[in-house]
Amino acid sequence: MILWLVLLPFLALIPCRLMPRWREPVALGATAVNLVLALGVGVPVMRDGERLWGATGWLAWADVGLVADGLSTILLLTTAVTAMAVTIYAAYYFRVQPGREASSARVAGRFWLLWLVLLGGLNGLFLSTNLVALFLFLELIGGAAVGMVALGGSQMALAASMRYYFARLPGSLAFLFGVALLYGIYGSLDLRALGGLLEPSPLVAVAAALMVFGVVVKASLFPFHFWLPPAHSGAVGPAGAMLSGVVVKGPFYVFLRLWFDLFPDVATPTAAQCLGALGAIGIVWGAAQALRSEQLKLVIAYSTVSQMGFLVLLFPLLTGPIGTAWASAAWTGGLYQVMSHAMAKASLLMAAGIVLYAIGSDKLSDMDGMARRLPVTTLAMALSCVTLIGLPPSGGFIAKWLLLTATIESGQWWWIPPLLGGGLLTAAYAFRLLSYAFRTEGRVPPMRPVPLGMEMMTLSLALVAILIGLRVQEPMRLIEPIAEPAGMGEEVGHE
Amino acid sequence: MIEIKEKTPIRGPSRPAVLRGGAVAVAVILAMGVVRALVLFPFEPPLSGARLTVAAVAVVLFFSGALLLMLGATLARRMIGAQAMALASATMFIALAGDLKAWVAAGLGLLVAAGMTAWGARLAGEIRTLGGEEEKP
Repeated sequence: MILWLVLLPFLALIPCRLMPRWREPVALGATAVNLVLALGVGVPVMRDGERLWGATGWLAWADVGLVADGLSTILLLTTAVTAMAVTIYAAYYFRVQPGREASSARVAGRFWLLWLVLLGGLNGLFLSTNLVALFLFLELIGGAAVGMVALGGSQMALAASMRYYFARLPGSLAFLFGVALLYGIYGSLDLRALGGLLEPSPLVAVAAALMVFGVVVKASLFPFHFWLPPAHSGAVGPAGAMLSGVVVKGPFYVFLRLWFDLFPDVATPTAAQCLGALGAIGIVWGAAQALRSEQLKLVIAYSTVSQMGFLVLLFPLLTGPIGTAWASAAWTGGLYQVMSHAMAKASLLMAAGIVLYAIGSDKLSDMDGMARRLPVTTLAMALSCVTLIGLPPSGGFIAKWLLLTATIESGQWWWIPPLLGGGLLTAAYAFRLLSYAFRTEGRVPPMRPVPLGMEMMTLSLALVAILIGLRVQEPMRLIEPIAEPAGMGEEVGHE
Repeated sequence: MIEIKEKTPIRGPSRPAVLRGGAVAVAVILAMGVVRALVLFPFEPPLSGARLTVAAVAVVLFFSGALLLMLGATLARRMIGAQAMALASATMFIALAGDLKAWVAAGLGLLVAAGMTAWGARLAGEIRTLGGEEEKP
């Protein structure tokens, strides 16, 4: 079943290529089966621990292996649930383009091909333990994402896709060079095997720096976030939702694997504190830019920069010996942030797509009276904002509460201002955004009726982001076995 | 500055561009095979001076390529920078390891770089000569 999670989206490309008219139902079917497969892998992992698929025969020599553990399963399930909602939303999105049927069908056709590549790439990334496979899946995801940004067809979208392309290219090649150095020294490409072999040395430090640089650029962590706002705000609605919600988590997942599985002895506490400082600046910077933006999609895109900063605080907070309560709290909080942010952010961008469709503009000042005319969409936006701010009972609340607990218990009090300040700034831009929707003073532009299916999918994702805060048992069962990530036990962060 | 004249849909890399890139990648791999057979095999295990020299050249090539990719004034120069970085990675794989896995990894790296540069050239070509329209629903 693990292997099928990777193969299925790529196999679905064949009928899509042969029968262009059937691209949408094939992609919808493949995404639905992908959700079933992800659950089929996730439930046994929750019950019995990690699941493995090892290559046999002639493939065995290549160290090609797939592993579904708690961390990868959380990412797989988050991707599968978000992708399902976005796929149904996209099916409606590309149908409702009056007067632009021909161009919309053309864009939709290309979107579904890129969609399947993206889905297969993400699944492969979360399951692979081979470093070259990780590089290849990162490239597939990146190539599909650049194409999806370009699909917007506008001048802004084309320029943004080019900028995205040039930002990720050095990152990709730096990652590959780092892998070459490690293979040259240790003769293995398997992430887990290498984790036990690595010893600190200048060459390993160079490889670590190159690989970390590669994934930091791709995950758009501050200060390498410059490509993200134009790319994510310029992409067509469903593409932007997937990019901002899930795709940025892919490189971040690799970053976690590198830091805790591969380089636990190279990743020093000083480096973790430096990363945390960059994360803290990212939280404030992204939120401040979101507050200044006048376009809905741009507000949401800058919000991604800010929310990714919360994730980076994981690194300094995890610098504790095995079994410490704060390390477990930080790890659980970080993974909750991954899940809740992915769904809330995808929902917000889907809502932005609806606003753009309904009133023909995503300027905040044009959103007058939206709450009355698009109540379901406004509710979805409000619920997503609740998650992003971290208000109870959302998953975002669990995430930020646990991160704050870890900060206090570890004595790293200097992370409290960015954590709390970031939450307040998030509240400021979220309430500003919602205030426009509830305002009825200005000109109320004419509105196009919106299919209920689009609104319901947007709402359902926002609700799931809230519900994971109410049903903590199931995610906890996945997170707990990995609450002490590899490498932490060997006193990561202790000199 | 990017100039956009009229609307066109964006397509993936053109087939000739991919074929050209792929052919270059295969040619480079073959050339490296010849170089390795002629220069490196006589100096095999453990890490001979010749292999270390090749590795050092790869490091220089990588960082020169990175500079060119990030600071290049034209698209062509940036693409050359990207290819130099990919070539450096492939060289490093083969110079330091040189087994079948290293060859496959180097080949895949070069093929991906060829695909990426073809995709970038296509994208830039579309942007420069054709163009888009304001995003409206």
